[in-house]
Amino acid sequence: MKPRFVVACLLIIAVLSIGLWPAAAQESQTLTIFAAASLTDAFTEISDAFIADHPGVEIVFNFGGSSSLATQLVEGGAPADLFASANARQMTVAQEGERIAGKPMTFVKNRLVLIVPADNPAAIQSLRDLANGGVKLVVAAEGVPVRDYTNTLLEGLAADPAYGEGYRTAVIANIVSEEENVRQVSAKVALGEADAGIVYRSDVTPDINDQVIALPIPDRLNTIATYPIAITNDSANPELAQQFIDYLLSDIGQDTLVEWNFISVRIPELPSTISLLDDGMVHINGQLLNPFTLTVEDLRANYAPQTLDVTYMSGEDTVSTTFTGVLLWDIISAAQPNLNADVRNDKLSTFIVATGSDGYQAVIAWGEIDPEFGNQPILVAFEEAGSPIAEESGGAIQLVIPGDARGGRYVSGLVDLSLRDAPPVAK
Amino acid sequence: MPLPSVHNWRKIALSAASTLFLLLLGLPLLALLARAVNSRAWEQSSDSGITQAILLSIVTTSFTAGLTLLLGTPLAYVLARWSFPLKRLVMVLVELPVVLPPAVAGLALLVAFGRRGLFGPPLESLGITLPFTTAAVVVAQTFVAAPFYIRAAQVGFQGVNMEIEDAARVDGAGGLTLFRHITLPLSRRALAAGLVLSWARALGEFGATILFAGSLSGRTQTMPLLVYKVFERDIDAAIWTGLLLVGIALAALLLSQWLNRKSGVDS
Repeated sequence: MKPRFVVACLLIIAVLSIGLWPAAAQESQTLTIFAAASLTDAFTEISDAFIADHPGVEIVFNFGGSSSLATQLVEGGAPADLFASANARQMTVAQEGERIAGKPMTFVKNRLVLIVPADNPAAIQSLRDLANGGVKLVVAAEGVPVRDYTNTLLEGLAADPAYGEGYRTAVIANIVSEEENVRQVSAKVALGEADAGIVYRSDVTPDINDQVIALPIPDRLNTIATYPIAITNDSANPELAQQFIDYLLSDIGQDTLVEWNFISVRIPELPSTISLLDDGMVHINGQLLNPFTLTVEDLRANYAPQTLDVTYMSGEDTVSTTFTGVLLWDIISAAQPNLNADVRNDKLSTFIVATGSDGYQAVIAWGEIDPEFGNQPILVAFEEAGSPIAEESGGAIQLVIPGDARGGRYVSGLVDLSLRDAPPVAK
Repeated sequence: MPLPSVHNWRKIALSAASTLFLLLLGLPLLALLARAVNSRAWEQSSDSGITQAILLSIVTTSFTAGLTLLLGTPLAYVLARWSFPLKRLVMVLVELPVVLPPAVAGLALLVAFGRRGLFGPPLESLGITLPFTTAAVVVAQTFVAAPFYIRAAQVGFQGVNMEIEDAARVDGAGGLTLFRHITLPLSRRALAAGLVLSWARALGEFGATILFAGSLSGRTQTMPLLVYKVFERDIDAAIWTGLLLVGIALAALLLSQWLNRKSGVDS
C-alpha cells in the first residue's frame, strides 16, 4: 500500500507542477513574439542586440505565416506578448479575436520581388514572362499577407493597358502551388522546383542569394507592404514589450531592417528649399520611396498619355487649346509616396509643389488628384495642339489643370515636382 | 465497511489510468463533433474547395491502393516465403516509412525525384516531372502507406499453412496457379485488412504530400491539405472536412477489424 500511495502523491504533484510551470516561466523576463515569417532574419538579429542591451531578458520567437499566427492567437489562445503581422488584415483578425491591447503601430514596410532559380529554367526576364505557357509559379496561399499583396499587384497589372486582364488570367493559371508562408515559396524557388515565385524583397537573404535571381518589379506597379506590431492584452511583460517596439522604431532597429532589405518607416527630413537643376529633366522628389527623373521620352514611352481640351483665362484673354500629357496621379503613384500608415488619411495632408525653370511655383493638393477624392485630370503635358511644347515657353513640359478658370497654375518649363507634408500638429 | 482489498485497488488504478487515456483520445474527437454540430458546419459555402479535395483524395488514394497492391504483393510474398542475405535489412527498409516523419519523407522524395533531384534529370529526359503534379501525390501516398499493406500481407502469407501448399504442389500445381488458387484465397482477409489500413493512411497523408507535390486546389490539395490551408480562413469548413476524415478513418478501421477477425484461422 505505502509505495502505491507515494507513487500516487508524486503523480499528483507532477500533474500540478505542469499546471504551474507556465506561471513560473512568466515571472522571468521572457518575451514571446509571434512574427511574420519574412521577419525571421531581421528580428533574430534585432533581438540579439536587444538582449545585449537588456541583460536578463529572453526572447522566444514563433515565426510563421501571419494568417497562421493570427489563428493560433485567436482560436488557440496561444500565449504571446507581441504580434508582428505582415499586413493590417491579419492584425485586424487578432483584434477582432480580442487578443490585442491598444493600437497597432506600423514599424516597417516592404515591397514585392519576383524570384527565379539561379539557372532560370523558364527563361523569365521580366514580369511579362510570368504569363508564358507552362511556367511553374509558386505563391503563398490565400490569406497569407504576401498573397494579398500579390493579388493587389495582379489587379493593378490587369488595370494597366500594357498588361491587361488576359495577363492576370494567364499568370493565375500558371500557379502550381500555394504555400503556407512566404519562406516556403522562396524555398521552392531556391530548390529549383518552381520556375518563379513572388516574395518580399527582404526574403532574398544571403543564404539563398546564390540560388535565386531577383527580378525587380517596376516601382509604379509594385505594392508596398506595411507591417503593424501590437502588444497582446494578456502579455505578462507589457513594459518590456513596449521597449521592444521602441527599439524596432529606433534608428538601430530601422537600420537593421533596412540592411535586410526592408523599407524603413522613418520619414526623412526634406530640404527646405527646391534646387533648380538645368538638366532638361523633371525631378520627382520629396516624401517618396522612389524619387526619379522624367524626360518627354519617358512620358511617351512609360505611361499612358491622354489628350484633353482646356479653356482658361490668361490675363484678359480666353485660351482654348488641347494638351497631351500624363496624369500627375500616375507619376506620383510611380514614385511611391512615403506615408505614415498609422495616421488616418495621411495622404490627404500632403501636396505637390510644382516648380518651373524660372522659379515659378504652384501647389496641387493630394485630394485634387486622388481618384477617391477630387479625381481631377491634372496633366504633366508635353504636347500642345498636337505638337511638342515649345522650348521658348520655358521648357518642354508643362503642368495643365483643366478645372482651373485661370491659367495661373499652368506652370511652364516644369523642372521639379516635390511631394511635401503639411506641418504636423504640435504635441 | 472494511477497506477494499489489494485486488480491488489494482482494478481501480487500472480503470482510472485507462479512462484517463481514453479521454485523451476521445475528447478531441467529441469536441470536433460538438463544434461541427454547434456551428452547423455542413452548411458550407461550396467554394472553399471541399468538393475538389474530396474528389482528389478519392482518385489519388484509389491509384495508391492499386499501386500498392500491384507492387506490394510480390514484395510481401518474397518476404514471407524466401530467405536471403540482408533480409532483416529489407524488412527494416520496408518498415521505415511507417516511423519516418512524413515531412522527412516528403523532403527525401523531393531530393530524389524533384526537378533538381538525384533522379530528376533522368526522369525529365523521359518527359516526367513529378513535383506539383497529381502523380506526385500518388507517389507520396504510396511511399508512406504501402508498408502498412506489405506488413499485413507478409503476415497473411506466412499464415498460410505450408502443408496445404506442399499438398497442392504434389498434385501438380505450380507457381502462379498455387498463388491464385491456394495462397491468395487463404490470405485474402489479411490482405484486405492491410489494404484498408494502407488506404486509410494514404488518405490522411499530409507532410510528404505538401512538400513533394505542393498544394493547389483540384490538382494536389487533398483533404488533409485542405484542412490545413482552410482552418485559418474558414474554421468551420476545416472542421467539417476534418469530421469527414474522422468518419472515413473510423469506417476503415472498423472494416479492417472485421476483416481481420477470421484471418488468423486457417479455413
